Amino acid sequence: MSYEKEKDVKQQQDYHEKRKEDEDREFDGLLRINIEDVEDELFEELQGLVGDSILVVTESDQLNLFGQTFRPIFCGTIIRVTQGDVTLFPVNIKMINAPFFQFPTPLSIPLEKIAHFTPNFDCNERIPLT
Amino acid sequence: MKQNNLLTEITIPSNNDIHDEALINEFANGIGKNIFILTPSYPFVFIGRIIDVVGDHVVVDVKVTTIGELENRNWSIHVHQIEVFYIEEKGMPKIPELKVDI
Repeated sequence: MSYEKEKDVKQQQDYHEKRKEDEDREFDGLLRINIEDVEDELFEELQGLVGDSILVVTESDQLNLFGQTFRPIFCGTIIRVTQGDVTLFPVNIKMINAPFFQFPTPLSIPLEKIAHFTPNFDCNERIPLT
Repeated sequence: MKQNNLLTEITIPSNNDIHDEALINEFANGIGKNIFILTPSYPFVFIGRIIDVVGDHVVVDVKVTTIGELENRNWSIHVHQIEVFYIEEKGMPKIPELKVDI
């Protein structure tokens, strides 16, 4: 057996031994973590923007609202921020043939779905959507 | 040298995990309330009442969606698939009745 191969085998054995050790450290029951003490900079930044208007683009290429497809571009005032989502109201959906369509309810956007956002954006501004 | 490059410092839970879990809590707190959901996947719109949260799925008693045949049944919706949503709150606008009468 070449030296290289021997090393590989040894590494694999080490890995399996390590796995065994880890199994000994299993938790019984639920693991609860208090997320209040964990630093969440994005959450803090968004919370500082409550009351400001924001332009948010989310991950998917397009959404569909009863036959009307549109790019997920939302502009509105932040009314609430949690560690899971940001809620905008009033909120404007930038549809191609209705660029100032105001959605009748507030809309919440999961933080993990935000592709990009820019704060202090004037929602009345016209932007080409193509 | 090579091994050092493979080391990445991580914190647990990561920010991504926190956001995901907090989002699930958000739906769990909304059990019994009306919800409006947009997903990029078919059938794109779900309107109904949250009846349960199972793991990272929200179970919704769907009253309205784009396809009539898919209405009036329980849909289990993966939280990661939800692009936008609104859980009806007191003192906030109600989800409009979007049903088209034929």
